[in-house]
Amino acid sequence: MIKDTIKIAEEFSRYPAGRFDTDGPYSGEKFRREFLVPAMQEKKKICIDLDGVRGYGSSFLEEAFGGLVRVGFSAEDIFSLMTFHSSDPSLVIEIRDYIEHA
Amino acid sequence: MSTPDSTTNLSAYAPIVTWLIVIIGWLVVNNQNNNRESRKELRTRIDCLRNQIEGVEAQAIKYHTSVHDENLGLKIKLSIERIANDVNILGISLSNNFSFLVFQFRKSITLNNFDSHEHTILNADNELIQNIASAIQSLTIEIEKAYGNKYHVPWYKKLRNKD
Repeated sequence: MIKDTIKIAEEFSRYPAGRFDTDGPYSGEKFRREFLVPAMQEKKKICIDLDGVRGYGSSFLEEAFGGLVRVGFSAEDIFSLMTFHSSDPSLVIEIRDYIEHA
Repeated sequence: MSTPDSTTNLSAYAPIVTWLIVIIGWLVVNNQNNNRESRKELRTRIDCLRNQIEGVEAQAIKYHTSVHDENLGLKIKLSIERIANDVNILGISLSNNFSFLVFQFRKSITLNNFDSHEHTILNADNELIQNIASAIQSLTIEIEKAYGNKYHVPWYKKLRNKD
């Protein structure tokens, strides 16, 4: 069952890194496949909590969130279903930018 | 023309006026001292932040121009996160553009050739390295601009901005 909030640090990893599965065990591709795509397919409204992670790489963020558009979800659908929470506003701006320009 | 009575009345107020001048003078000087100390404190914090940013720049150049080093990559991500947080609690009003510049800073270092099994050793004149320098320059200029706007604006312009 998909929760209302996905806390990346608790449910995925405090050390997410890399774009593809070949780049490491906690890649953006894996996060997208295991958390984001199922939520989008269920059309469930979710909040992605970005706090608690020991630093994000843009390659992870781009593949996880920008990759959603490349696998067939529209930016409008993503924004209507997903909200982002972070104490660092630049992370939310970055994710939105990757979704808009994927 | 003052009568003897009115002169007596005025002289009765003289000590009060003197004390008022002393108190107002003390308040002005105290306020100026506090402002000077706050300015020095903020300058120190900004200098420290700039050192951190320059440190990340050096680490990022080393990361991209050497063989893949996972620990260095992790250090860079942590430092970027720390800088983003420090900037948010700096105590100066930053423009809306500022979060965008932090994003560009992170992106310039960690979007390509980062945390990748296909890590390539880049030349120092590679476009990616140039982009890092450019993103860092934009970020530091914005911080200095915000500092300048807080302390180096003439008082009459501050009053005009309040209107």
